[in-house]
Amino acid sequence: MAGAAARATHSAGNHITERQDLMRERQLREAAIQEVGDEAVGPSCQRSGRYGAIARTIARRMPFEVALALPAQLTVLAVVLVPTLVVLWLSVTSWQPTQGIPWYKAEVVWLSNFVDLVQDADFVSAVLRTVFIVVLSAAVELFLAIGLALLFMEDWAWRRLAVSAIIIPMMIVPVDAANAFYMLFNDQGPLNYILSLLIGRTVQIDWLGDVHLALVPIILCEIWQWTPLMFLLMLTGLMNLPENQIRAAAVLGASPRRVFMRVILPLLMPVILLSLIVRSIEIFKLFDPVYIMTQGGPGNATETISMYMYHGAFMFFRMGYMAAAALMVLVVVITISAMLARPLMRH
Amino acid sequence: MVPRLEVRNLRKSFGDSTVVRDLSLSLAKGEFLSLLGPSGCGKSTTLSMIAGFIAADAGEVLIDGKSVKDLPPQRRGVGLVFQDYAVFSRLTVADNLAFALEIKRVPRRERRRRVEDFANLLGLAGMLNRRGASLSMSEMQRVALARVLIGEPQILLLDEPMSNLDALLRANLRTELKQIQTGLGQSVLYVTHDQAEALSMSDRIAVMRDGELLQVGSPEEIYRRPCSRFVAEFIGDPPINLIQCEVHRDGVQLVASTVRHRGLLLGSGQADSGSYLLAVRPHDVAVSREPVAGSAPAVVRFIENFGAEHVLHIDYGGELIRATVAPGFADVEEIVHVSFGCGSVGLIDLGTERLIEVEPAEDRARVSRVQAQVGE
Repeated sequence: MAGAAARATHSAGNHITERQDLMRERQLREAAIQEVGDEAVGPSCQRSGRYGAIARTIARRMPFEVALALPAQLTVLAVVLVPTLVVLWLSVTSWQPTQGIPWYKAEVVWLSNFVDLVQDADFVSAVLRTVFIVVLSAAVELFLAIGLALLFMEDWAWRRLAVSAIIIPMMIVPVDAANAFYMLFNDQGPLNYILSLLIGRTVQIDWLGDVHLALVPIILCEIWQWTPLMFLLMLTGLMNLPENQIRAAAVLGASPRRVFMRVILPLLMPVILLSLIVRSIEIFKLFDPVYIMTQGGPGNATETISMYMYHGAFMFFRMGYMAAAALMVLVVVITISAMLARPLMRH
Repeated sequence: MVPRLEVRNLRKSFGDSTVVRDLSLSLAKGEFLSLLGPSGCGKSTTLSMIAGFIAADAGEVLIDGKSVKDLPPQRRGVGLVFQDYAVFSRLTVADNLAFALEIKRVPRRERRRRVEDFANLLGLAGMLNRRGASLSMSEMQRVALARVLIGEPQILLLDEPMSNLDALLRANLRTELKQIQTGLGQSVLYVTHDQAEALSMSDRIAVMRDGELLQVGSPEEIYRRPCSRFVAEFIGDPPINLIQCEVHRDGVQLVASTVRHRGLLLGSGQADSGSYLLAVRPHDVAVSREPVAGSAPAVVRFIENFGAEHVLHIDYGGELIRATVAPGFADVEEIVHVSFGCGSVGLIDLGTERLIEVEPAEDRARVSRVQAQVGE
């Protein structure tokens, strides 16, 4: 910078001055670099003044890679670890914000929240219902995704366009998708209308108001929106399979079905397991469609675990109790993931 | 007799480039035929068309006299060993071997017996329970071979099956593969770019270049009477010497002059007087320490040591030619005397690059007389 400035102002006579300037600048820079050491040779070491001194001290005391990771680590600490610790604390209290005492002065009830939860029919049924939704949706999504991906293995006209079309649902805001399904499944909605046309008789199924049917639109919405993700994972998985193993099976006389069952499926297993883990964790947190379509109703027929906790925490303000519920759910999710992850590690 | 496999005027293009042009071949029952050529000459594409992975643009593939145009790979009755072996990595060796038998619904006991037979044949007995992914390259190659052979295919197609193995293993497997093939009476089409493999195993060799078949013949024919400059240069290790020469026709006899030799008697052949390339195998270059009739002195520039034999790189009028000699025959920068024997050379036409065969001179007496004149 100084050199450039000097060059801009320099006239025919002060050529030597300019060179001296440049040399002095270089000397200063080298001195600074030596002082800081090998690890930090960033712009901070050229900075002068108090902040420069602080930066140099940090650079001297802290390995470079630690300095790089630190901001991310601190963020994670703030948004994950601290809330987790707060939840751990709250789970052994009976704190409710409406009591008027600060959360850190809450009354400790030790494990009674957990004892109550295990006996809480609403909680247990919400967990079971959620597990049911997870298993059903993930299985259907996987099945559809593999089927679709197999169709897309070979090249055909409009293939690229079709892939783009298939992945559109994934890009829609979940709340909007849920809203669309809410409209579709309305008892005066288009779905009933189409069914009426097909059957020739007026159909008025109250999808969202029926205790036995209300889960259907919710699960369908979830499947519709997230099968594309599964499809993309399966398609990349299939595309990356060793082609010659598939060809070898074919020359050995295997029917396409056998090639799929004996060669493709075993090779695809790591991808399948991984996508099942990712999707299971996602579906376990199912909230948006339930909130938009049924709010957990009718009764609590569609109350997923997230919905249950939302009600408990933000409508009944039972923070301590819900903290305990959240911890138990966390344990369930980790257990399921670990169960799926174990075979993945073997691969 | 109907050939096991016949390929008629096969043609394939990808976009603008024609990979295989009007290729015709036939493979007799129990024959070992090598398709030999440099990488990218269309050998593997030909194999894929025979196996049925790629459809040909034109031409026919016949197996036992019947066109297999409409048959998928599953139903062509060919066995294929891939260059990367394509062992089913998630299955055990035993399951890999039993794969074809399962499809044919061979009873379990019979299946186990045959798996064991072929495992013994290919030295896989100790590793039947290992998974495909845990095998070494040479083990995979054996598994791939056994897996195909166990299904008793009518034709065995091998796509550069040795290119992933190290040299020692390759040499061992060559003989082993040949023995197994002879033992089972398999018809084999073997694709390779390694002329040593082709020469050592084949009944016949088909040399390919740029999608075209150049020459088909026994290893002996291909080595002794290559049809063109390309085949001559491609076959043989160390490579053939090509020496500029002027040929003069003297009655039926051809007499050549090179930079170092004058009046070199070649024999009789269908060539006019003019410029040619003299093709001499390094083994046919006679080198002696003392001058002999018809020899020319030359300096050894470089020696390649192959243990049992040395290859001398001899400065022959500015160009280096190779000659095979016994170890310790000569040192670098030493002067040796070079001559080419009558009947062991060929002439290559500079225009067409075709090889003109030269028959040894019948008149032995005259040969020695002329050679005596040449020796100065």
